Amino acid sequence: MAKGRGAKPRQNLSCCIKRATTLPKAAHPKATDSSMTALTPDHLYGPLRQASNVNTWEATHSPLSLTELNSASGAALQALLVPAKHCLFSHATRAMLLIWVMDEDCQVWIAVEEFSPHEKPGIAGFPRLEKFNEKKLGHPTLCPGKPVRIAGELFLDETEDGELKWFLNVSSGRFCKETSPTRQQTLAVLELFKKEMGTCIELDPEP
Amino acid sequence: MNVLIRMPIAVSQASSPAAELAAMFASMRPSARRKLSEVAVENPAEFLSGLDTFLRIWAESDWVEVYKVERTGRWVAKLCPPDMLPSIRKMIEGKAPANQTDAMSVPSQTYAAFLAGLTAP
Repeated sequence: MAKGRGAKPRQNLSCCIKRATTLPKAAHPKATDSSMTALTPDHLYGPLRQASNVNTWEATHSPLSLTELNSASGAALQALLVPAKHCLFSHATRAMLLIWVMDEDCQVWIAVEEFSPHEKPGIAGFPRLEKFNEKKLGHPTLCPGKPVRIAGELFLDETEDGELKWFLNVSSGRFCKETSPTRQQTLAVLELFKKEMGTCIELDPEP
Repeated sequence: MNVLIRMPIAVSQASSPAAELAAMFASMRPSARRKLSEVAVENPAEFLSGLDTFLRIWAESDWVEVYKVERTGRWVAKLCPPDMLPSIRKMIEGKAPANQTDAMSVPSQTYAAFLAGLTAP
């Protein structure tokens, strides 16, 4: 079974910030290039940012789908493109929104944006319908109580040519509103996703 | 009040095209933006109705995702023909509560966030 941690109660969650003394395993591959050896995670992905506006219903739960971005979850995301092209699943998969954050050690954590089970425990783990205003478990619930470097969304949509792809943005109102990530930081995190998912993902620009 | 029950009712009360467009305003994914750009040119009244529905859904809720509403405002400013923006601004300003004591209410936050996005550089 894919590695996840969302199924555990919040109080049992291990800290998502690992103790690394060197550039972390998830760091941008180009970080080892001679041209980028001087770059720190702060430069590559941005300095640590604290969450703002954490809602009360986000203080006690994490998404059940929460997992780290790695080769297994990357392959799962890539493979989802196949059922997403079939009418049986096309609408359901497009209705989902995934959210992600990068922790202090440059590990990306990803989850389906889920309903908050705060008021309705029976819906824990259900995807939130992004198009309406249900209470949700947002970005701060992916690394509870911890700052992150960069955060955003991931979703399926068609390109102008009609090709179904994953789109990534750095639109996190909780972490990236006050200081937007730079273009270079955004592209660097896109490369991390491409490393695990292949070329089925592209950037969705900010307005 | 339970928004999980209330909001679908609010949407169903709107005309179907407006409800569909409201969902696109909420999503603002690339395909939604392409569609909204077309509607803004071909049927401005429908565009405004959809936008009104989108904002009303949030304004009638018991919380508002301010950042997403503001981001929608920024996208609308980019997607719409420039000569359409004054009518959008007028529509929104007419709905925003006038007195400051309501400044932190959900309707105030909703419309203020949208206007902030609409006028962002």
